[in-house]
Amino acid sequence: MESGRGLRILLIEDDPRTVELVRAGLAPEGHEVSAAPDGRSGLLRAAGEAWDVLIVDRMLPGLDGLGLIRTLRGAEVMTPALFLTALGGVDDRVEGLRAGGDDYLVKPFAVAELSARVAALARRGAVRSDDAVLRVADLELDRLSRAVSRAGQPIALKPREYEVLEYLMRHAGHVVTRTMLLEDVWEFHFDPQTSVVESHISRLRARIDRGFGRELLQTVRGAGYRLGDAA
Amino acid sequence: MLRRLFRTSGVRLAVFGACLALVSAAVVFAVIYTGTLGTMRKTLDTDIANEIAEILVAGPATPPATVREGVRTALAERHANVFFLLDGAGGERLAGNLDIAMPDPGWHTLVAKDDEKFAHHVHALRGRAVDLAGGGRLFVAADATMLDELDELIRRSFLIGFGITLGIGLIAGIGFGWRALARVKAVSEAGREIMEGDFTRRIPLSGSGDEFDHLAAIINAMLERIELLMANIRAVGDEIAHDLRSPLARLRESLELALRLDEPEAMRAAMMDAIGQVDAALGLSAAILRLARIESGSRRASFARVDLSRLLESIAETYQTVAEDAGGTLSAAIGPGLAMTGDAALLNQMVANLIENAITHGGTGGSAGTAIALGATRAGRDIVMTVTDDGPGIPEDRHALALRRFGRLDASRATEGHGLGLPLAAAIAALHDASLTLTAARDDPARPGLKITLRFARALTR
Repeated sequence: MESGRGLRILLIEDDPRTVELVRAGLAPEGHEVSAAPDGRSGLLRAAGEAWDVLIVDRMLPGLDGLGLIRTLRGAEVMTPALFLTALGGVDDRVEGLRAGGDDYLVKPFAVAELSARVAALARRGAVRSDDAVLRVADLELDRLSRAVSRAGQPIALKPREYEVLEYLMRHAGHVVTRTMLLEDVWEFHFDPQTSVVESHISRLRARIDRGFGRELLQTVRGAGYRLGDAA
Repeated sequence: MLRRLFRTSGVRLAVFGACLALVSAAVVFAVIYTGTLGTMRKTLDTDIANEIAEILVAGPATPPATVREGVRTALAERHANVFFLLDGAGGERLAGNLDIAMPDPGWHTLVAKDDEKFAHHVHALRGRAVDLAGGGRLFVAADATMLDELDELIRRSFLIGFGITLGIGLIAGIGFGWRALARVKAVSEAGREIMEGDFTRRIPLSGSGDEFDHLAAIINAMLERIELLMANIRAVGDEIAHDLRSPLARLRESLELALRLDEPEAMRAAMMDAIGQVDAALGLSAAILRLARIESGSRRASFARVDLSRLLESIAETYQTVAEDAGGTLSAAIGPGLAMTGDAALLNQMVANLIENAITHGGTGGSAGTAIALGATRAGRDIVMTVTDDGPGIPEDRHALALRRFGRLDASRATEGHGLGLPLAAAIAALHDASLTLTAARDDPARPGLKITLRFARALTR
């Protein structure tokens, strides 16, 4: 991993079991998780201290998650925020994003999914998204000409494969989950019944890794994919 | 029953109608009564007043001798239908052609008792008694038999008229009320039986096509729908329970297995397996919730312009890869510049579901790969989209079942998926006012394929 820095995370959640699960899941990654049990204390702590990421339950006693984020954004606190929602409709996602949330996750969730999304949110500010050329090891992607090459050899990709690769390169060194790819690359907000992601990943792998010796595109079991030098 | 009968609108209407008829008859009666009898009486009264004036030439102070003379003259001259009585101060009868007691002073209408008469053919008298100045009293009367008979006639005919009106009104009202009550009773009996659980029960029609038949027909149509929905709910309940059972049962097995394992790695694997089973159950419930939300129609609020051509091109590219990996092919023929109003995220899911359905079910006919074709074109003002495969297809009599929730066509559930793919697509199509039809793709009974046609009626022009 390129950044070993643990994150300071504020979890605003009233269900102690969820708090326990998130703590247990994120602590091994080196993150420090503080919990606030209700909307009001969560709002005070979110505004009063410095955090890398906020994880906010939509349904909270005192002040609900949407109102909390709206208030924070109104006060120009722009800490990246991820909503946890038990409702799980597309309406809730749109509402959450409109209120100023940056991402959302439906309960119950896989800890690996939460971990990958939290890390991606924390990086968001740091990723140089306006770089014209992305590089991972000897793999290069030119965002202006949409040209991809590895070790100087040009690689032809279909549009979707290019988009998947660009996404992976922007999150180089970090785990990208299947759902993140579906939502951000395909804009699929449902669970496809066929192997949409797997098919594309295996094609992409064949094109960028086959014949180059070192494998850059790795499968992280039970979590997703990671592009980068094998650690 | 009787109290309920009198509360029916039929009886109330009849009573109201009868009252109205009575009031109007009473007005007519009053007009005729005063118009005829009143006029006749006034004429009589004038005659009598004239007679009295002729006798009492100097008013009440006319000397008794003059009065007596006047009465005698009048008795001699007048017709038999004018009557006089003259009593002296002591009450003794001085003259007269009537055999009755002297009435009190003032106007009188005298009617003879049943078989008595005042004179030949005279049953009724109208007259005035006047006190004389020197004592004594003069009574002058005229034959009022005609007046009395007319009075009797008018009264009687109106009474009979009233009676008949009232009678017919009440009988008709009770009849209508009874009939209505009987029909309502039939409806409520049917209703009670239905509430008790017999959903096949229907309300009998009389066949007359009256308002009750209209009502009964509507209620029957409603019952038809309710019966269908109930059957649907029951079936869906069964299906959900059935579909949730398998992952839950396997979850139980995995957990039980994990309990007995000592090897941490094996235990880990069993736990991962358990989580997979839970995810399957959660996926099913998420799909059910999603379907319910789409069917509620609330998503229409977020409709916006959708570039359908681009959306379909993008999905086609994605699923070309997936179909090829499954050993099949996907070809696309998408017209340029197709645009409509809708929800892009849902349309994405709809098309994806239809293609995934073709990939998973189209290949189950034996041969390895399915050839899938995605087409979209402008047809007049509409956009027609098709998803065609060359798989085993769906028999025509099962098309409706395929679009129903959990209408999975193999009862054994040998195939993957939660059985909500087509129903979800159909719900999304309905949300967009699109018609969705299933037909055989080709003329080959062994492998007819399936063609799903969607017609959107809201094409936008660029």
